[in-house]
Amino acid sequence: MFFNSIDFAIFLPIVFILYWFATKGSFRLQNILLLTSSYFFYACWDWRFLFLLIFSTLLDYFTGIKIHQSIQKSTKLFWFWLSIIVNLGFLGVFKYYNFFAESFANGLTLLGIQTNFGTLQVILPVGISFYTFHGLSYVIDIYKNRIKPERNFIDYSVFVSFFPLLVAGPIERATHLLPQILKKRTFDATKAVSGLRQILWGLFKKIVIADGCAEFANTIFNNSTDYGGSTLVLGALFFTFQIYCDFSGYSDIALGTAKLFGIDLLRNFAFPYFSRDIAEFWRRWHISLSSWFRDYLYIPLGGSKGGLWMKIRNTFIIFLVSGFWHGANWTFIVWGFLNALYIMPSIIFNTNRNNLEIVAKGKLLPTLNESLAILSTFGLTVFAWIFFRANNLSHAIKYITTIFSKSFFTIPKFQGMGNSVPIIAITFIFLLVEWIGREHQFAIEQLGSKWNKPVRLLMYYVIILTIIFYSGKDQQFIYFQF
Amino acid sequence: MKSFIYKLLLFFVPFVVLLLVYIALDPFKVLKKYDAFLNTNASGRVALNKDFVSTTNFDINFKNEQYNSFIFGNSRSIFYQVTDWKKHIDSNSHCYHFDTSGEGIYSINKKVKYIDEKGLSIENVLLVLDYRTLLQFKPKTGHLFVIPPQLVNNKNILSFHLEFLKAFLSPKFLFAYIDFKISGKVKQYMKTDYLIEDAPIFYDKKTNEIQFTEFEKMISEEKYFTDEKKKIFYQRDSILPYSPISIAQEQKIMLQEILDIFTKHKTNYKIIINPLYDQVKFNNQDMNYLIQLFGKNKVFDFSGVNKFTNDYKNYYETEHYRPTVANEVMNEIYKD
Repeated sequence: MFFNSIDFAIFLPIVFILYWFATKGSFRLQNILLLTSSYFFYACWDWRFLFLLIFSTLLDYFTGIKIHQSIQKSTKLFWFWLSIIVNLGFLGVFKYYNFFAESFANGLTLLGIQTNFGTLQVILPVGISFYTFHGLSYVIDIYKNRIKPERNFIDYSVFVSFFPLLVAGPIERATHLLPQILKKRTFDATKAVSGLRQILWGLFKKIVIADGCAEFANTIFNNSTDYGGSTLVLGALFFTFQIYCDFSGYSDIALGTAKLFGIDLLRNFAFPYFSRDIAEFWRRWHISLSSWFRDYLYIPLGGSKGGLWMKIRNTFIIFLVSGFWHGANWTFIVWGFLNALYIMPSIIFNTNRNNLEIVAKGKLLPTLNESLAILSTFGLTVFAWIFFRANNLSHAIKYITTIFSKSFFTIPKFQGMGNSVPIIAITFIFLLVEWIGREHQFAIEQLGSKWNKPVRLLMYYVIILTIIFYSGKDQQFIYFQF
Repeated sequence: MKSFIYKLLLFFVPFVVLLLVYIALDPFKVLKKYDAFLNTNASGRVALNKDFVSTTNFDINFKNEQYNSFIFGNSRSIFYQVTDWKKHIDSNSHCYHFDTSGEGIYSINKKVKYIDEKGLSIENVLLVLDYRTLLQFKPKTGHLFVIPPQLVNNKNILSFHLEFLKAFLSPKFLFAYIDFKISGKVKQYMKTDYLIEDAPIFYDKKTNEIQFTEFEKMISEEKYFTDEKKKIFYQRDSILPYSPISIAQEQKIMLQEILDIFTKHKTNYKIIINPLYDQVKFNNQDMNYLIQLFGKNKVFDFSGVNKFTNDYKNYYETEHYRPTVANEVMNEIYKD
């Protein structure tokens, strides 16, 4: 069941009505309803993987309690590593086994040794990377005595499986979400209206911009050998907006949906394409994952405490792991490596926390310096996305080689180019709206709040009609595959 | 809470009004029951989903008519007229045109299974294909092409109706539809994107056959191929182009399933590769596969350069050949 499907449009109001009217304000009943709805939501993809989700939940629930109860350090460590190894084991088998088997066999072939490791014909369980990280953070936090384990299995299961975040995040923390699950939620109309606005904006991003750009990005990337450099740049730009609107659109719908149930989820995107340097970009892109890696990998590795070289080493490690988290393909690893390279100057010169505030705060336009910084950061990001989107490394290298050829100076031309004009125009309008709303949680949070009601309503109707008009392409969310 | 829901409902009032208007008008004829989906001699009509028309018309009539002979294919297959076909098969056969605009192998596969599930016997079949039909192995989108729910066990019933609602709400259609309703005329702009059609037709709901009798009359009176009309018949390449390979693993599975049902029914079937104006030759690899699967005496290739495709007068326009061509094709494939 996708957020942009009719099934979800029926599912959500039913759960909403039952949640607020049938549970009589009891948070226990609310949690039971949320858990059954979440399992139903997940089972709509493939009910068989529901058992995996339940097993993973049970594992972390029990190991969490055992870690807390253990007096001896060795016992504590045993339960801790049991959870870590089993969780990462599942992730390894389902997501990375084939990659390692093939890469190892290829490596041996280079040494003249012919081997044949069998590959597994397995489907990647949707959301496994997300709910595994949920569970891991919970267990690590208990081990580090940051939190106490949750004894009520239903409440804990809601933390892992709450349907808005189940399949593509945001990656929540027990310290943030569990306290909300453990208390009575009362209906807050202002929060619900904000949630609806955020869902609307998320749907617009996904259905209109992401799916619209995907059509042309796919055409250009899939036939890249037929096109010149300028067209390939256009293809990379289409993908740049596709991936942003796809994932941040999903996150907006997730956050908006959670608000309808009186729950606040972690913010995942904060207008990353207006960043002035790569460090700022990574504070604004997939925030819940970046902060997860910071807290559970970068800091345990020593963070920035061990001098410049350790800082450099640790930065490379988290970017490479982050790339690998996205998928078992060298393209993601190179993408991570490239971002680590991009961020190096600010690490070396200690300027990575120069741009903490949103650009041109309180102003209509950025300064010339800010504009140049935004453009250069955006350019670097677009370049890195080529690796992310390419089918393999040689595809990415050929793609880039063509960009840096004479054909860069030709007029872009591709099949169906005429049809892309409305999407390009809408993307410009979208960027303008994002710029205007950049100081808020999402672009249209406050947009039109000072306008006359009919004008504001008209804006919403235009957005809804545009969504209806562009709907039906049935594109999956990119991050579901991770 | 109640005030929130009340405001939310109020917000959606304009959409509810539009929805009610759509339900009342049912411009695409997908909501109400109709005795006949197409009207002979109507001055203009909203373009319908032909797959839905063919399937629903079949649902209405199959019990009375007890169809046992079927013609499958895209809009080019409609010119294989039942009266001509009956000269080659049992003249008491109950024939049905199970065609669709932009037909694909996916939908043909579903239709053959659908007939089989209804318990009808499949005695004769004309399978009218070209590489474009074979390339379509997935369900299509868009209100004119979305597969009718009956053929997929009603799995897509919501998305099916959403396609039509979307089409109704699109400014292009809504404007053309209102203009057509008020003026009663089909204007040139309405014909682009297949919004409103005005080609005069004869429609027989029993066989689901469409005939362009008016065009044939104009041709016989030498009024059809005007200088303006001749301009659309472009010059073909002197080098013989081949169609792309269109039978992959998915298509092979679907073709095998079709063959299994034909075998079960001991169907007398013929597969025709369309004589298209573009003179693109059906590629050898696909042809060999079809012959290997169905048998040499079952597959007939009329694509490429030949007596049918050389003469522009065999075509109404560059996409559709005339019933005279279809009749000659039938004469050739049934001559043994």
